[in-house]
Amino acid sequence: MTEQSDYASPAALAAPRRFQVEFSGTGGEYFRIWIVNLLLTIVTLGIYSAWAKVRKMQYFYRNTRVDGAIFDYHGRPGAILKGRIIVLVLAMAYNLSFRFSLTAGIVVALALAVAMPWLLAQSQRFRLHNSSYRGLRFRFLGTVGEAYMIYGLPLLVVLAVGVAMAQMGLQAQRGVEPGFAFIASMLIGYGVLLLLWPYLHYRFKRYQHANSAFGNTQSAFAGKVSRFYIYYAIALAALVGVAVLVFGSISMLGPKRGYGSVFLFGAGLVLFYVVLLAIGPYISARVQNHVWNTTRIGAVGFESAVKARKLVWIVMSNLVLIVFTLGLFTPFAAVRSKRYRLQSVAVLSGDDLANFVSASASEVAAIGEGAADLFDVDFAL
Amino acid sequence: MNPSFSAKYFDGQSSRPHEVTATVDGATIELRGATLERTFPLGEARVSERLAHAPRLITFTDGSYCEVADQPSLDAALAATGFRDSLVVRLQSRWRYAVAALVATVGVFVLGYLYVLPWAARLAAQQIPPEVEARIGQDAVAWIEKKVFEPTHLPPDQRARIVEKFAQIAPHDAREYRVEFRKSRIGPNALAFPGGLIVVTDELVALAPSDEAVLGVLAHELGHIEHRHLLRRLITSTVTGAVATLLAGDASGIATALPATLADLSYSRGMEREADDYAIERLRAAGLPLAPLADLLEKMEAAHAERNKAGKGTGVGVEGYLSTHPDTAERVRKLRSAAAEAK
Repeated sequence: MTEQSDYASPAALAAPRRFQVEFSGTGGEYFRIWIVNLLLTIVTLGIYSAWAKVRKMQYFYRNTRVDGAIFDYHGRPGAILKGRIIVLVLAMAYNLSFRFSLTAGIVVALALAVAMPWLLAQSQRFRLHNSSYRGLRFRFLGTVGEAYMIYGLPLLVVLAVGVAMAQMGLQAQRGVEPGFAFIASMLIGYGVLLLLWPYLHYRFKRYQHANSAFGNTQSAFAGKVSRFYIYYAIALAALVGVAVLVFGSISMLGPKRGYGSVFLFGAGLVLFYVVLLAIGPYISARVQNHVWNTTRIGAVGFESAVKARKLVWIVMSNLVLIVFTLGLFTPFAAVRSKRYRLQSVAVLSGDDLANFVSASASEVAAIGEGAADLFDVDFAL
Repeated sequence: MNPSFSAKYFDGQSSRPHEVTATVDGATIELRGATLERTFPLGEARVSERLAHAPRLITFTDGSYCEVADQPSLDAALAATGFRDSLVVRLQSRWRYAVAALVATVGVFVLGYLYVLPWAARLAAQQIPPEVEARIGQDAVAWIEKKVFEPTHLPPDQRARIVEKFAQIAPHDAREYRVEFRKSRIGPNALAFPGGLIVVTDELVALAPSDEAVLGVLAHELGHIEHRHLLRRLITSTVTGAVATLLAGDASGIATALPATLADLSYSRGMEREADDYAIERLRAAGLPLAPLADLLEKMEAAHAERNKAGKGTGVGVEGYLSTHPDTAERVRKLRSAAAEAK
């Protein structure tokens, strides 16, 4: 992969036209789809979930409009069901193998680690290949090799830590205390993963946004890894800051134990959790903006203006409402956050978006999309 | 006049839209616009499902399609061809069906939880081979041993006496039935483990007025093992946990822990009854009296009430002999009437 150097910001386009993304889905309508999906999924013991996914995806795609034309989802339930069965079998194998023996567990875990990047690349390919706009399919051109580059290291760390923990569990059963080297290596593993995380997030976004195509036009991505580190650093600083503030002020109050300090402790804990929960939507808002603002498809650029504060509010109030309605608010919550995220994006183009053409048959064959029929399996859950 | 409607046609080759008027004429659909004119066989066109605020799509075999925003005209045209929405679409279209689906969903959960899950768990537990059962038992013992047990302080001859009498009531099957004694901080209690091990606490033996009463408890615990109650509970709590996780998704935490806990409590009652019935049968077959068990139950109930008042819970995740027995009075009544019958 090379950095895109020919990138120009959307503002630099000659008199760009601006098409705000519109979303027409409503919580009430999606609730009816959701509840029927849920009922049919339960009574068919999960089999209908593949059809449910298609209906859900179609609902969100077809209610999304740019310049008066909608998106469409073409995933076939059979392919989705196939993928789900395979994932279920793999997950069960992983969970059960450690019960037989450590060796069996490691063998299955390694096999999973080898398969995982392929599965993730395939799910990306399935999703884009089955998305269309104005009659043209999107495509994913990312290679499995790159997926291995991205996921290889973190998977190895997670696996090493997982195996270490399984080993420790077995030792604990025999009454052996875990050694210092053991704990140290686990901490180092987690530390490496934490430090690498923003980079991996960036690599994953680059993998998606630099390797997509609409018709025969490939996307380009000029996002910067430094931005990812800044977002994560701000989130971490906020978390550490609130922790120091809350627990510091509590310890300052000292041993005075009254209802006042109990109340303060409770309030501090709530504040800490609020910040913890806010991190997800904060990073997601910042990343969406940065990633879309630096993505181009041919002469088409994007402008994403999600306000982190607003998204944090939507996500947190959704969570509260979902809990208080025993889950019934879930479909309303999904529409609410989707609408905000989508409507914050505008498509910028020098012309009227009518000049894209489909990939020729030879182009499709060249990247092995013919094999997509053979491997027509969706692994995304 | 043939029904017609306006649409945007996309040919699948370029992103350029073509404004057309579509007319349904017999077995064909004709598209007519300023830039193109096409005819497709009606039977091969697929129309997308109805959505309240989104255009519908009519897709043709070559991958080209029409986006139709004018829903009323399209409806009229579809009606003329005899097209009918699928059952699922009709279910999704009205609030009363949605509410019915909600009620049915809740109903399925309740019925599944109360009847289907216990039945399936019983069936599944029966399929577990003895070696696996023994292994699960060993794991459970190893886990609990360190948490609550200390070596027993009971005199060896008393232990030997109970073990000897236990041999009379233990069934002869693939399991290896054993009784072991432990001092513990969970008070008078007895725990049955898959595979055949029963652990009796010193406190229970001390509380028991006679060996017969201890044997009564052992018979009851044998019932738990024979009916594979712990395995069944393992299965049900795994399933409820998995379902709760699937449903709650990210909003987990409290939401997922709660159903699993409730499951454990409500299953235990039915299982206790089953174990009591088993104990009555076993004790009768061995010619042992039932009344001592009833007496001991009452004493244990009192002892546990005392401990709870003192604020000492068991503090362990595994249920003991009494922690899940809210119906002691009912159980004692049953034992006493069974004892009276025997006379």
